[in-house]
This record gives sequence, structure tokens and C-alpha cells, in this order.
Amino acid sequence: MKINKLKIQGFRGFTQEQEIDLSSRVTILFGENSHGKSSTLNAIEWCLFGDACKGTKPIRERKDWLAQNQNGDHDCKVEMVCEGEEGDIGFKRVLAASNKGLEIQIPNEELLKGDDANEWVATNIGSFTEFMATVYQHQENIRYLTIAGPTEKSELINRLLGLGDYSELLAGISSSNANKASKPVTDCINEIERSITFKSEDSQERIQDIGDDLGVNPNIFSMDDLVTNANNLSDQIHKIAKGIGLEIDQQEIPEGINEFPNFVQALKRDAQSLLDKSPDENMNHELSQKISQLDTDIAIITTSKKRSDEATKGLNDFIKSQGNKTNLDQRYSKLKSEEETLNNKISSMNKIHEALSRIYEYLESNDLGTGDGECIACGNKTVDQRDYLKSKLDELTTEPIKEANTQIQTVKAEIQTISGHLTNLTSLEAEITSSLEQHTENVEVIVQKYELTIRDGEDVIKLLNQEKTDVVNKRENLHASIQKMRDDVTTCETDCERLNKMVDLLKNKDRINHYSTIKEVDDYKAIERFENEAEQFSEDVEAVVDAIKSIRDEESGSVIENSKDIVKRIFNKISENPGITNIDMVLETSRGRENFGFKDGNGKEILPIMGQGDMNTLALSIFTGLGEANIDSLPLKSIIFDDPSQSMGKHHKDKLAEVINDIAEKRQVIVSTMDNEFMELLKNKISMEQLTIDIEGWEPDCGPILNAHAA
Amino acid sequence: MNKENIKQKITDNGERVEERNSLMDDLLKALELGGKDKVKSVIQAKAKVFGTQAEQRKNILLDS
Repeated sequence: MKINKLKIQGFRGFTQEQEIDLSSRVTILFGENSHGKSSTLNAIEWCLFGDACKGTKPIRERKDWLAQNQNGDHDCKVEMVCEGEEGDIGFKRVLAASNKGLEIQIPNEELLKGDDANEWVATNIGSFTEFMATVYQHQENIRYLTIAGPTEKSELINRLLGLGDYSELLAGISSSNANKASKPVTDCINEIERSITFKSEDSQERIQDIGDDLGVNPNIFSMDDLVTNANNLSDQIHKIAKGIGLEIDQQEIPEGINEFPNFVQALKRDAQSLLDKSPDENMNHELSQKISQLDTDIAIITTSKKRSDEATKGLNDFIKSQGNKTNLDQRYSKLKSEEETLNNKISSMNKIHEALSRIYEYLESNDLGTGDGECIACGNKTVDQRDYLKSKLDELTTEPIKEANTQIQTVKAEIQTISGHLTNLTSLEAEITSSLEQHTENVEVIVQKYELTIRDGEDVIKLLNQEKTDVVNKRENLHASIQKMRDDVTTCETDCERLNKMVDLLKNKDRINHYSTIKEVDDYKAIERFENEAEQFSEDVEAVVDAIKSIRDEESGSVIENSKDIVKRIFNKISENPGITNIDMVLETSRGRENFGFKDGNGKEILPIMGQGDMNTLALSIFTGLGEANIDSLPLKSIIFDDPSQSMGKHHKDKLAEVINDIAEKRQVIVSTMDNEFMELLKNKISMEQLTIDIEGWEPDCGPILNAHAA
Repeated sequence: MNKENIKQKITDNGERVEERNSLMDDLLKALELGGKDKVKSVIQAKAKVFGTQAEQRKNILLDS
């Protein structure tokens, strides 16, 4: 199988869809960095392996590699056509919201999708690790060989030898700590032992405390003792019930210790129910209610009696201070008469005053009566008639009228006072009537309610108090029997608590017994079985690891054996380092780890004396040597070199071009380079049909600018 | 990777052949699905079962 055509869209540097012809025996991708050479080669591996080619050591450039082009609007899609024995095989991998994964169209067969397609690749092309060991020489593999530590270098060589899957598998197993599979189970067993020791001591302490509390010997206390105590208590409750005339069903003694808490609870309820159902308790309750009712009624009667008494006293006190109604009426009439007399007097004097005033006005208006003579009004001799008249006017009318008005105000005030007294008297009389009616009504109700017979002179309150005394006495008489029953019930409740403690004691004894025999219990035996199984599992994993290592060693030995001459030949051809006349790949075990080494004919390490160019040459030699050694078994006859001439001098490059020409006789070659010198050497050295694709630049809208031309 | 040779090696060992070959199948499948991390998680999941079952039985024993 070989690669013929590649169609890329939306992948890394590719934006618009571009088709690349790879059908020539040799295809050279030539261009500057960041123009799309590696993107083209990456598209081949991504199309076949998808995410499996991301983040796998030492392909660090893929660590955060997003396949989908972040600059374009297109979905990410790579299509590849390979030429197979039965015809063209089409591969298509898409990364889009609506579609994702690999599709493969094999001639005359149904389209394979998803897991089926991935499985086809695994079976017919191999794993990604194998692909990197035999088909695709990564730049980073070359770089890594020169800078990685021993472990990572060993992993890389493993990968170059096609043994990467062994390393991956063994690394996964090693990091799983399968040898400690039994530890959690052993921890469980230890925890059980610690716990039962602690709980046994705790239960023993509890048993002793309960024994001391109950006054029994906990060591000999048994289920029979518990049943005897339970029977006694049940009988006691039944007896008390019978004693107060009640019938209750006797609780059945349970057979198992676990049923006892419910049984004790039922006994408690029975004991409590005796208090609720007892006739004496009911009577006590009724009497208490009656006392309470009597207290209320006594208070009502007392209140209405007090109100009536206070009304009577109020009236008497009033009469004593203000007089009775007759007195008040007489005083009122007298004052009214005085008022009338005064009014008449004022009226008469007003008339005199008016007459004298007119005379005076007449004299004054006619300018008369200024000399001596007789007073017009009274005939007395006067010096000045008008002055005399004026003085008499004041003397006979103005002053007496003023005095009469003052008197009449006093009389009116007294009338108002008497009037108020009469109103008060009426209210007091009404209160007496009302309070007496209320009291009489209350008395009638009480007499009827308590069926009292009131003889003359008897006080209803006294009768009620007498009734209350009788009821209180009755209740006192009940007290003794009630208290006895309550004491009995309390004793039963205490005995119930004792029964609970006995149950607790026996349960703790059972618990100690259970702990002492826990290792005989099926669940414990199961845990021991899990421990054995976990240990067995660890042994199984170890045996599997031994088998993997054994076959890996066999395979690596075989791979080294098959390819070492070719690797040596290619290395010597390219390198021509006079200091390295021989090169042997060896697998050595050091501190439990297997490491690959490269030694000269005298068994000395050669990596420390290699320059950068020789390191690159060595990695390329292993890569191409392995491919050549296994050419017949390789399903994909293509070989891809990504910038293989890095760190090489002209001599190395010249020889490398010759080696690539040799390879091209047997396999399809795709090589990318940015090295002008190497490019010219390739053109000169490659004798097979070749196509050069110049990558002349990169445009954001369309991606790499490709210019293909045959040599 | 020569899977069949590994399984044959396990078979030749003669001990718990069925269990170990079944385990090997599971590990190979895990490797295919998710590399060494998946291999690790498959083994840890298998190992965890023993501890989980033991924990359940322990709780039954100590709660009873």
C-alpha cells in the first residue's frame, strides 16, 4: 500500500481545501519554516490515527496541538487516497460539530466508520507507535535522541525499534501499583481487629456498669433471668389493672432479645394507660372540675352581692349627707320661690329705673331742674333737682338691681346643686334596683344549679362554700388510693427501665460473643478470601509483566539482530566518523530497568563521543534500517522524512541523499526540507521519478501556496 | 507487539492460564483504547474491587 493523494481543509495551516499529489516515487516538500511542510505530513498521521498522535512523548510539538485550524471558518477535514492491491482505499477524518471520526472506503466493501474504521487501521497499518517507528520519521525523534535522559532515550529507541507498545503497556502496569492490590483488604482486616478489640472492651465495661446498677452478677445473668423479670412485671401490671377494675390484655413474652425493646415499650404503654383509665383518677378529675366550677360561682355571687351592698351603702351615705328626696324637693321649691321673688324685685326696680331715667333725660334735654325746689319724683327739698334725681337713681335702682342680680346668681347655683343631687339620688336608686335584680338572678341560677334550699336568713355564699368543702373532702379521701396507684405505675415504669438495661446487658454479652467468634463468620472469611484473591491478582499481573518483558526481549533481540547490520551500514555510510568503526545496539538491564545502549567493537558506549550530526545520523540509521529490515512485513510501503538533514554538514547530507535514493528503490519516499543545499543534493542524487512541491508562502485566506513540478 | 507470543508465554507457564490470558486481553484492549493511562486505570479498577468488597463486608461485620 502507498499514499497517492492528500486533500486537506481546515487543518493546522490549511484553510481552503487543497489537494496534494503524492503518487510519485519520491515527493519533496520544499519551503521555509511555518509555510505548511509539517502540517502536510501531520495531516497524514492525523487522518489515520486522530487524537492518538497528540501528546505522546516525545512528540512535544503535539502537546497542545489543536487539529482544527483556529483561523478558518471551515470544519477540519483530511482525505487521503492510498493505492492497495485491490484498488484505491479512501480515508477521511473529520472534526466538526455534526460529524467526527474516521471513515474508510475499501474497494467493493461497505463504508467503515468510527471504531470499525480505527480497528481496520490498527489491523492493516498498525499502531501509531509502529507507524512512527517504520513510516514517519519525526523531527522530534531525532532531536530527542540527543537531549533526553536515559529513561526517555530508552523509550525513544524502543519506539524506533517498534517496541513502543511494550514500553507503554509496561509503564501503565508499573504505575498502577498492582503489587499493592491486597493492601486495602489487609487494612480492612487490621481495622476489624482493632475495632473488635476496642468494642469488646467497651461492651465489657458497659456490662459491668449495668450489672452494678441493677445489682446483678453480669457474668451469670442470662436470657432466662430476663424472661423471669419480664413475666413478673407483666403480671404486676395485670394485677394493678385488675385491682382497679380494669381488664387489659397481657403482653406476650418475646423469644428473641431483639424483640424485647418493643415488648418493654408495650409494657410501659400498658402501665401509663392504667392512669388514664382508672375510675379513681376519673373521679378525682371530675371533683377537681367541680371545685373549679364552685370557685367560679362563688366569685360571681360574691361580686353581685358586693355590688348590691355597695349601692345600698352609697345611697344611705348620700341621704345622710344631702338629705332624702323629700328634703331635696323642699329645698328645691324654696330656692325656686326665692328666685322668682328676686326676679320680680328686679323687674319692679327696672321699671322705676326706667321712669326716673326718662325724667332725668327730660330735665336734661330741656335744661330744667338745675335749681333748688322739690324733687319731682319724691317731693323732697333739693338744692339741685337734677343732681338729686341722679343720685336717687343710683341709690334706689342701680345698686339694688346689682345686689338682686348677685343674689339670684347664688340662688341659681344652689338650684343647680340640688338638681344634681336629685339626679345622683335617682342614679343611686337605679343602681340599687339593678344590682339587686342581678344578684337575685344569680342566686336563682346557683340555687337551681346546685339544687340548694335556702332558708330565711341563710347566705347563699356560705352554702356554696359548704358545698365546696364537701367536694374538697371527697377529693382528699380519693388521694390516698390514687397516690398508691400512681406509685405502683411509677414502680412499673422503673421496672421497665430495668428490663431495658437487662436487655442492653444481654446484647453486650452477645456482642462480645460475636466479636470473639467473628473470624468464623462468613463475611470475615470472605474478606480473607478477597485478600488471597488480591494477592493472586498481584501475582497474575507480575506474571503477565514477566511474559511481556520476555517476549519484548526476544523481539528486541530479533529486531536488533535483523536490523543491526543495515543500521551499521547506513550509519557508517552517512557518518564516516573515523572514531566509530563499529556500532552495536545492546539491551542492558540496570537497577531493574532495561536500557538500550550503543557500543563500539570494544564494548564502550559511543553516544558520549558522538557529535550532533552523528546523533541525527544514528537516529535516522535506526529508523531507515528498521524499515529496510522489515520491508516485506510493512503494510504501508511509504516512508516519510521530516527535515532529516538538521544539524548535518555537507558530507552527511550528501550521503543521506544517497541513502534516500537507495530507499526509494524499494519504498515510496516523501521528504520535507527547508535546506537548499540538501534540496540540491536530493535533486542530483535521486534517480527515481520525483515530484517537487515548492511551498512558496502562506496566505491567511487559502493557506500554503503550493507549486508542484516534476524534476 | 507480538500479542500471541505473550499469551503463549503465559500459557507455557501453566499457572492460572485462563485468568492471566484474560487479564492480558483486557490490558491489550486498554492499551489500544487509551495507552498507558488506560492500562493503569483498568488494573486499578480491577484491584479496587477487592478493597471495595472487603470494605462492604467489614461494615456489615462491625455494624452487626
